[in-house]
Amino acid sequence: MSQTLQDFYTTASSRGFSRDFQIRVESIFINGESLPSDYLNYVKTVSLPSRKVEINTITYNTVKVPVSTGISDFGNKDNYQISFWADQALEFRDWFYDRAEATDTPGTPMFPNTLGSNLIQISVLDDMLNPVYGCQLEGVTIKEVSDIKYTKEGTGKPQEFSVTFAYYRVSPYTSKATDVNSNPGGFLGAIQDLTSGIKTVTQGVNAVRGLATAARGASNAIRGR
Amino acid sequence: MTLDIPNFLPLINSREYSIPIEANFAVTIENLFEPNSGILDKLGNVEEIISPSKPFVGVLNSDFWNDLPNSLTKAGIFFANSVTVPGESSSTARVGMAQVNNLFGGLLSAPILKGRADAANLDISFIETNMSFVDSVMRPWSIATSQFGLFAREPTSWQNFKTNVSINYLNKRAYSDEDYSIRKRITFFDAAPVSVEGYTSKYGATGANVQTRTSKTSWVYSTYAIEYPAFVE
Repeated sequence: MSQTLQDFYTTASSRGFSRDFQIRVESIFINGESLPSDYLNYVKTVSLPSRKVEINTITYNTVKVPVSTGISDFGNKDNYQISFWADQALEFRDWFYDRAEATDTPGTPMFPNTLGSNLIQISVLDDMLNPVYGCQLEGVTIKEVSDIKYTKEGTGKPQEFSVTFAYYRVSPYTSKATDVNSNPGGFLGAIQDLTSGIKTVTQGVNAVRGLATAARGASNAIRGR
Repeated sequence: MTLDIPNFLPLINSREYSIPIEANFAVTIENLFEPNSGILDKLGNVEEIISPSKPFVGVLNSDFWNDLPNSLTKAGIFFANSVTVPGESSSTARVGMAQVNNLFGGLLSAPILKGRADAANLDISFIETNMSFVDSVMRPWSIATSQFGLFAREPTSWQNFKTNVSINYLNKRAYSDEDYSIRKRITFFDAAPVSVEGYTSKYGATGANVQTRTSKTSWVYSTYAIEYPAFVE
């Protein structure tokens, strides 16, 4: 396919662009317990995990040849960070704080690195806020719950904290969440209603414009142009 | 003879000549878990002999180790996470014109071989787990080896503590539908542990005090063999 400006527009209109806010942490299970879903609303920053392959270089005569050693791993797997806004009573932070403390208890389902019960499930959303891509981190352990600095000279901005996790592997994940189309309501539902309303109006305007063009064409035909 | 890169690249991407990962290995110890005739059960039989007056090493019942999932015991001793395979060497000298003040009269002396060096011990390190394999199996096993020696006994003799140990080196990926294929296997015959390394534990919140620990063991053996199961049908 060529790469003209027209092609760019065609691709852009069909494939769109993933935007930096179109992500949702669907759930976090640590040591057999699930993070209460309302806590997830306070997720501020999260990233999709990376993938890394170790490369060694061997030299053949004078030529350096990069060779994959075959060690394919997940980058940052012992340093994966999610940041949150802090609620007033710091209950969200406390939830992680308690789980971090519990990792000191081996030999029970509380023990970390349990594939089935220690998960972080993430969805990437499209423009309609429907999940279009998902992955889950398995064998998650809490590595650090960050400190929060308070100062009497502060400007009053909301406090934030971050939690650093380690995980064992990444696997595909399909969100079971109902998409916003079939479950309108709340803030997202309102945006959805507004968007479809605008779309309806736009379609109406386009239809009128189409009629006008047709009438102009007919008029031109009558005049013999 | 060509030294061109287009010929070289397919070679290192081929099944035979690709570059392996040294960490892809699994240690297997023959006749360890077998009921009645296995090393673990033999150790249980001789516990009173190797520590007669006051038991100072506890030998765990083999039933405990038999609880390990079959897939793990078949795939190798997962505790064994480091090996040092001994090399091979011979000593040489030169004979001929007598050396006088580093002068040989312009003549070179001739090389002679003074014999093959003794086989060095095989070293295997084991990671410490809650139920310590090193202290509950390797330690009493090395004592039993010392007690009963390396005589040529029947393999099933309860006094025989020699067995075969294999280091299986694996392909990066399987070339069959099954699991990883073994590209190279080094088997040490009539192997028995003769030393278990000591270790230090101390209070502390950082470094080795709170990290995983491995203990090195040394094994004596009679001879060894190297096979290439993945390539020889």
